[in-house]
Amino acid sequence: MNRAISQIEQIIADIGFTGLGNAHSGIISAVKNAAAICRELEMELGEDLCNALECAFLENDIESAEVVFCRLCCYCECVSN
Amino acid sequence: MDWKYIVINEWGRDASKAAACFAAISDDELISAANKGTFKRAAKDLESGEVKLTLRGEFPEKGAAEVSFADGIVTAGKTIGEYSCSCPSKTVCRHIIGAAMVIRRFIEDNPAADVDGQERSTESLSENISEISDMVTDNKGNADEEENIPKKSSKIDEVYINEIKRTVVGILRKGIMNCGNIEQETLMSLSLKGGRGEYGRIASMCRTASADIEAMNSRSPAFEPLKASLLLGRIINTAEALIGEHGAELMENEGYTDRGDGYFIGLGAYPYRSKSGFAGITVLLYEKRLGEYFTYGCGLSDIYEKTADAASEESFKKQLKRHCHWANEVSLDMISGNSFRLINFKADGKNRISSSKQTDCIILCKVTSDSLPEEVRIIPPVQEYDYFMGGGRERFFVREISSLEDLRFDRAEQVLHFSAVSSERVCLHAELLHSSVNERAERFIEENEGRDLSGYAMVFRASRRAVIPVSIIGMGGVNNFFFK
Repeated sequence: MNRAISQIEQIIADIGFTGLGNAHSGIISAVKNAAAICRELEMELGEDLCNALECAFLENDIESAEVVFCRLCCYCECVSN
Repeated sequence: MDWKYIVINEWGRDASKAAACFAAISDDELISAANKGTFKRAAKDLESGEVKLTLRGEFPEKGAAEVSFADGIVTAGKTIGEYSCSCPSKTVCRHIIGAAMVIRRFIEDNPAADVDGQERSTESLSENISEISDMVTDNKGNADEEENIPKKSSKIDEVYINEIKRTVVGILRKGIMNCGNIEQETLMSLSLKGGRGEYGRIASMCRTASADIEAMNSRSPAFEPLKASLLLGRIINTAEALIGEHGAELMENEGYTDRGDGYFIGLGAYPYRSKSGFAGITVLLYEKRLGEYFTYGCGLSDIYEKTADAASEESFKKQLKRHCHWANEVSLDMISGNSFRLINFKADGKNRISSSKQTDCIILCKVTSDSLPEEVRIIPPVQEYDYFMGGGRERFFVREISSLEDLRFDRAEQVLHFSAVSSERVCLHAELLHSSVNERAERFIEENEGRDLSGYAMVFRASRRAVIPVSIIGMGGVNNFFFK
């Protein structure tokens, strides 16, 4: 679980720092990677959120990305604690 | 208040046009932005010195209106967050407060007229504050602004919450790295608008977010991208929740309520320093009859005026010994190491005791390790994690120890780890973050490593992540090692 959370934390830090509107391919592949780790660890909600975030970035849907990002922040903090 | 100001109109146009660009900021908002002491000092400065208001243009033109004092020049803004001062203070200083009062008087003296020629009244920035009773006339004789909390309104101020959400979403979209003074000041302004009442929590988050942007821009090691990003998410989630079905549950209940009399045991004092630079001392207390922990906090007096040496060792020591609390003007040093009775005390929902001058404090006797009640030795269970509460409250407890062992300094994390070992060889892992405010405590732990501390009890506070020492109590009394 720590592996998944570390990956998600890295994504959150990168997105917050560079901006939702500036998500580059590196962030998108990190999100894909996080989804895969969550799938492997059977962290369903984590996987769903990462998949949703990846879709939002690929479709350039910033509003959906923003909603998913906020949920991911909440998920990350709740799971870490 | 009887004071005069001089207007120098270099702009050359009608003064009422200039006045119309600004907003009158009420005394309540000014006190919320700084504190009552700074407010009173600002008022005194206005009465005793010559103040000049120079008009150079139409706001928001840069330098449109400047208020000059003997030792500072303030550029006026529309909100308190937009005011800036030439003095070294990094916070809302007495010059800014004084300048806002001058601008307000200027607006009153030059009422604005709208396009149709009808007189338009200027509005205070925060309409919520109009519910607060007059804080300026200090009828209760209480010098601390904590007493003056707005009554809880039944409606959520959606305009304010949406404004916060819009601002933070904007920051999230462009990225913290692309944020500068504008975002920093907007967040600070939103924080000041929320004040310390029912929107205190979200206001506090906005203040922290503002401090994060400042830290990032100044390349300070205090900037942590993950924490800053998580905070943006938390602010948006909190704003959404406040507007949602259960919004009222998230409103702060920060009001102080009468608790009558209490019998307290002082368990030591520890310093705090926030990211935005505020610092102070918290005293940990245990109320015997209720079986509950309370805290009593006090900011450093000089923190609002000075900058570089405001949170120095000397300042903390001075504050600890200052006799200014409650009606009997006791010191933090006295209450942190003694049992005492409080008559007519007030506390808020988080068991933080008010500094009301209507509260009497009667010191009873010194606290020693053998006079501690059994209940304080019980370690409270970990509370369920509450996302909107920022994790939850700290837990406090006292542990009998016989030695401090296994000291290890983690250079990467800058944390001093150690074990507090009891006479039965049960180890409790504790830690101290390396910082200027914790230096003396770190030295104390290092100097006492391996020493026989039988008969001593150590006081701890525990968050979800760490157990942190507060003080050590022996037969001689409480040792506040953060300050000695």
